[in-house]
Amino acid sequence: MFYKLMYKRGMHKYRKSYINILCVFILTLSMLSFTSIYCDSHYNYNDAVLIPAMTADWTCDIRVKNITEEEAILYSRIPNVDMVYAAGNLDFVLLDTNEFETVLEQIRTILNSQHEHIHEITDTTPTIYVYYGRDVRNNIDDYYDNGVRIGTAVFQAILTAIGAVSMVLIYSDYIRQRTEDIRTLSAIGITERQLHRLFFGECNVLYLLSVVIGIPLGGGIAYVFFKVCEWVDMSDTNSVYPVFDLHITSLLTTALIGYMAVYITFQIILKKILRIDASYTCAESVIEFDPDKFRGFYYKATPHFRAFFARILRKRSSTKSKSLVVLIASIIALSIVMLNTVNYAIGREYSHGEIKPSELAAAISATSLFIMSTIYAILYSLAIVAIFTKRQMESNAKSTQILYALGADEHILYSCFHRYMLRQFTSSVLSGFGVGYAATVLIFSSVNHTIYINLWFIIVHLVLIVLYYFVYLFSMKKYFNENCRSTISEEAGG
Amino acid sequence: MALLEIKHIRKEFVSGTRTVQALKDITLTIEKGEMVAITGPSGAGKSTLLQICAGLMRPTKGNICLDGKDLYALNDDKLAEFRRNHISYILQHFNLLPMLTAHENIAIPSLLNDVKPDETVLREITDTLGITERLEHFPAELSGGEQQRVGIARSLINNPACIFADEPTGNLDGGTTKDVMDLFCRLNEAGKTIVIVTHDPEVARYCHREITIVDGMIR
Ligand SMILES: Nc1ncnc2c1ncn2[C@@H]1O[C@H](COP(=O)(O)OP(=O)(O)OP(=O)(O)O)[C@@H](O)[C@H]1O
Ligand SMILES: [Mg+2]
Repeated sequence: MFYKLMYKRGMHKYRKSYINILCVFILTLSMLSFTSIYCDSHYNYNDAVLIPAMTADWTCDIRVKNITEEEAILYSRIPNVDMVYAAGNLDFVLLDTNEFETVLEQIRTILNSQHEHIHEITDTTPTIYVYYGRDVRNNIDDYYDNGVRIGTAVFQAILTAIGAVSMVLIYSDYIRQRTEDIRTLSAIGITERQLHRLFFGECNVLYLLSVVIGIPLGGGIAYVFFKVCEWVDMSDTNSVYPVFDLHITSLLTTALIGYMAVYITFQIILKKILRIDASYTCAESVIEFDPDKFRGFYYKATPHFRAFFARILRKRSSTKSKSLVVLIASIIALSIVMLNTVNYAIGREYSHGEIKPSELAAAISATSLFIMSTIYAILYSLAIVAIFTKRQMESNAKSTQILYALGADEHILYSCFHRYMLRQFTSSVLSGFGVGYAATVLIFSSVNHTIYINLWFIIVHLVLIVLYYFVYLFSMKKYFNENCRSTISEEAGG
Repeated sequence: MALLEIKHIRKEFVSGTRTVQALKDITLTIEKGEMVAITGPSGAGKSTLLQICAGLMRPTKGNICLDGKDLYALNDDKLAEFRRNHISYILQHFNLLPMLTAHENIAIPSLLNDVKPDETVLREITDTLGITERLEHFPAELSGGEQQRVGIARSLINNPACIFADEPTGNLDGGTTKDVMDLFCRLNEAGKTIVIVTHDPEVARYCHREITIVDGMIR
């Protein structure tokens, strides 16, 4: 009864916070489902051509794989070739070079009439051809498959870590709003078990909602990505070819990993919740400066005032340094993901002039993991920038309100804030990108990879920094107006 | 018979390198059915003492027996449950949950016990407090006095043995203060033990006994 009541009423009062939390949860789950589907859906044909079947007299070997015996009979009409059918494979052996093209054409015609998506595989040795019939997926090379899996897992791990950080941030923001409620409830005598249940229930509902929305969302994005690539004929490239594929087990794993992230987040948040106790101490109403002593400063924008206010802002170092670390860490992660993306997506594929559509499609499908990872990392770090700004503004709200009430000019308060935040913002962006790139350069040089840096790379960065700046500016304006103006009287009322 | 026995209570607050001795060795007994005022200058430690008595804050040293039960020997969950059913604590700032209606706010202590509040008892309480018409309103739609009365109603719903109130009239005008104090007197006559922290000599006059605390000690 109690829980039902609290949820019902909470839905009204805290809807905005719930939506914010839900957004971050959905972001995480869609990211996980996208990457899992990506992992399931990629097959490299390169390995398949390495079949040692070339005949000693340099005649050609063609084989069609994964076909049924009934299908094999269709090929028996092709003149001048010997065929061997063995458990799904059809080998055309001892073919003369001058017959090769004709035979190839006939095989292709029959194969295309039987199967919709037939992709030609060639190696640098043009004389070895392998066609796939029914199901490509039966024959994935383990080595490649593991490579994709490990790569995806690394990206998932990095992104889940940033995701968990932003989940913790957004959740603790919500808990901060509910501090008073929790206080009151524990004064009334709610037990820790009941508090746990109250918030855990809420968290689980949010998680379930985000599974329902997020997993299809990530799957949808993957589907669109791959379908776009599948439209393009990529038979002239020897790249990774996308085949959209859903494995129910990996979706379950996605939900499970997502739940683990949510659960860890909840445990961290629970610690915060349980630390809130019912006793009212004066600690939180302690203001770090004595307004009367500094009254003279407020009226005019003197250098004294700026210096004084900057000192107040700096004093709140505990929340500041913690959130600064989070911000920097998220930018480091972002920059690692981004530099990798640039190297795989932009650097390699665009470095040699003219691009054919098939090459572009191949590049996109091969690098969609990187591209999407970067987009997710950017979204996460934008969320973190917004929450970071909000938190800073809120933790300084009391001091600012008092200064405001004492007659400080709003523009000056704002410009003080602006400068202070800008410094933090610049230093975190610089150090975040710096450390991230240094790390990537070290990794690359240790495995002898070249780093491509081109115009695209610089443009993407500039756009990103401008985007960051706008988010930060927007949230600063918003939260300054919400928190730092004369709201003292409202607060005293309730 | 002593309802509340406070034995050698000390409370220290440590913030950084500073240590504040808020309470220095307080020993005190409050009998069943008494109505006691705790007064003293600001910063004397009144609120701290009251919160310790109400089971909201562990003392640094000493123990509290309420109805023969050593409060701080209980674990946190047991203490919360005990608090819910035997003690009520009323704050100066009413502390209603803003998202719940007055009625729901009053019902919470029962709901936490997983039972629906007895509507006749609830009606009786709200009738006495004169807020029956206001039950479906949210706290933001109530006046200060009404909010305070809702807070008091909530503290009565589980029929506690002992009521602690920290400056319950601090935000109220003279007339409303009188109403609230009359109510406390009636509750006291009905057998409840009441401890009120106050700055107001007028309020203290309603009580049987006045305990003055100065600088963390009883004077
Ligand atoms: N969390 C805390 N940290 C440090 N010192 C504290 C804390 N809570 C209370 N104190 C100190 O303990 C002393 C007693 O505080 P308390 O709130 O009990 O005073 P009070 O008698 O209720 O005052 P008032 O009448 O102003 O409410 C004060 O000196 C106060 O500064
Ligand atoms: Mg007090």
